[in-house]
Amino acid sequence: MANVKTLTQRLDQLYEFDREPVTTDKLHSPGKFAALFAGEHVAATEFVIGPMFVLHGVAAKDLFLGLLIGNLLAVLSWAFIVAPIAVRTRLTLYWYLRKIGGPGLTYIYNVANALLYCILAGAMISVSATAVGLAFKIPTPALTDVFPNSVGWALITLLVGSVVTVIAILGFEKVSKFSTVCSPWLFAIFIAGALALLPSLGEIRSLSDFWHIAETKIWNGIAATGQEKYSFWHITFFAWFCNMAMHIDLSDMAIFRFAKNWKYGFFLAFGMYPGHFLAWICSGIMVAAVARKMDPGMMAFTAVGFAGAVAVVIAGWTTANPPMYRADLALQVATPNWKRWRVTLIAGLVTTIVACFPVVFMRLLDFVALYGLILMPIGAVVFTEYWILPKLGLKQYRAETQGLFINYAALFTWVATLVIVFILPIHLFFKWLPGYFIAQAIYILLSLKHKS
Amino acid sequence: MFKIISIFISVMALVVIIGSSLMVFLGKLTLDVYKTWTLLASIIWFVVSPFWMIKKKAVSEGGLN
Repeated sequence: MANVKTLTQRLDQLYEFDREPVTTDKLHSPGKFAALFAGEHVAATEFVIGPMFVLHGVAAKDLFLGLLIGNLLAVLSWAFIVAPIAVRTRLTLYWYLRKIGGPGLTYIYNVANALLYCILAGAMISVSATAVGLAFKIPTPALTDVFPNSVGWALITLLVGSVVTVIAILGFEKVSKFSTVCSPWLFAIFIAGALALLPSLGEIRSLSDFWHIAETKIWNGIAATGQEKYSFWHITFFAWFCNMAMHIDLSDMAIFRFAKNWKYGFFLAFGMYPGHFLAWICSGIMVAAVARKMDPGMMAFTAVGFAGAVAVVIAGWTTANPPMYRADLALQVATPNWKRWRVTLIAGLVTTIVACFPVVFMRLLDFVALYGLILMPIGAVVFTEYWILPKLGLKQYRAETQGLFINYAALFTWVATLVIVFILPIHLFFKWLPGYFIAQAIYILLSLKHKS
Repeated sequence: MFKIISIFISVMALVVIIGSSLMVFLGKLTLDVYKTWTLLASIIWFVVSPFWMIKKKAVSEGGLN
């Protein structure tokens, strides 16, 4: 236990710079928030998610309606769940969770997050590898492949992963700055690719021509072999939970603690509709025009030429960078005497090995669902602690006031909720919603015990 | 003044990318010519836009985009 306590102290030191609540003189204007969000949601994942909807046989009407409603629900989740708590506490999730769950639970949460980040970064490296592989004529794995399909694929992912790791060792911050330059260009590439390939699907002279092509040649309702068919509900829920780690699971408290008003949460619409509506539609059009083959590199090269292939490489790389950074931070705590470059090397190695397995990007939609689901009970605990416990006359922040190392009520809620939702006989995409209320109920019941 | 010129050139680069693809859509430009224009405009974007875009400090705790 002493070792674990030392680890949590080291973790605290890493986050020391944002320990204090944000002061009023450091708050940002609404314009800055709108600009920040506008460029935040166009990334490498969009080259995979849009095509996956096509391959899962969603119908055009279901896709458009599902994305409109799902993204609206996501924006509302930012506005009504994360933003109000962030502007009242002015803390990051890390420090706020520490008050609720204690340093031990915060450490466990961080490690779980780091592992999930490594898988996400690995998937993005795989996406980049599909474009690099074009130059060496290495075939991209099939949609159902779990393991590398060739020595060439393994080598190319190792090569891309190594380059990404070396650049990360030179500095995460430089890549982060570079990624801000990429976002508007990447969005233009998505639009251009779709516009340029649309004529290959049929003649379009009016909106009704487009709709006819959309219904018959793009989102025609026929799932690819071996793929589950998606409905309106799958699309709605996916668009809603796609960024669940940020809204329901509250990691965007880090951003909203700088907001003057909780209503800035609505500005996420500037990010969601270009990124998770238009970009997904555009990449869906592109994949339909390349014979519905799941190969982001080849798809972008066909649609936009060399610039398209470069876009896939850059998008994969810049999207892999932030998760690798988070994994690196968690590893730093566990390896106190190691030099920083060595820690980044290990995080990069793990990520690169994950990237060799095509299943991580071929099953990206399922991974996104799992990623949000695994962290969801903690989001529910934080929400309950902030809003519901005071209304029930229960004490908040027991871990902080009583000096608990781990709030076992929160830990039990996390584990029990995950066990229950994995047993629930419903689709993976829908499990989180009942799970969220189950987690709240468990946490309230356990907190009532302390009242008595 | 330099910043304004950089912003103007950057925006024009994006206009060329989307504009040339629109011309392909309308049947007024071939795919090959559009791809060349897009590549040139992309190079211009990456040369010019850092002058006015690289300022913001990332505050996100990370996650999925």
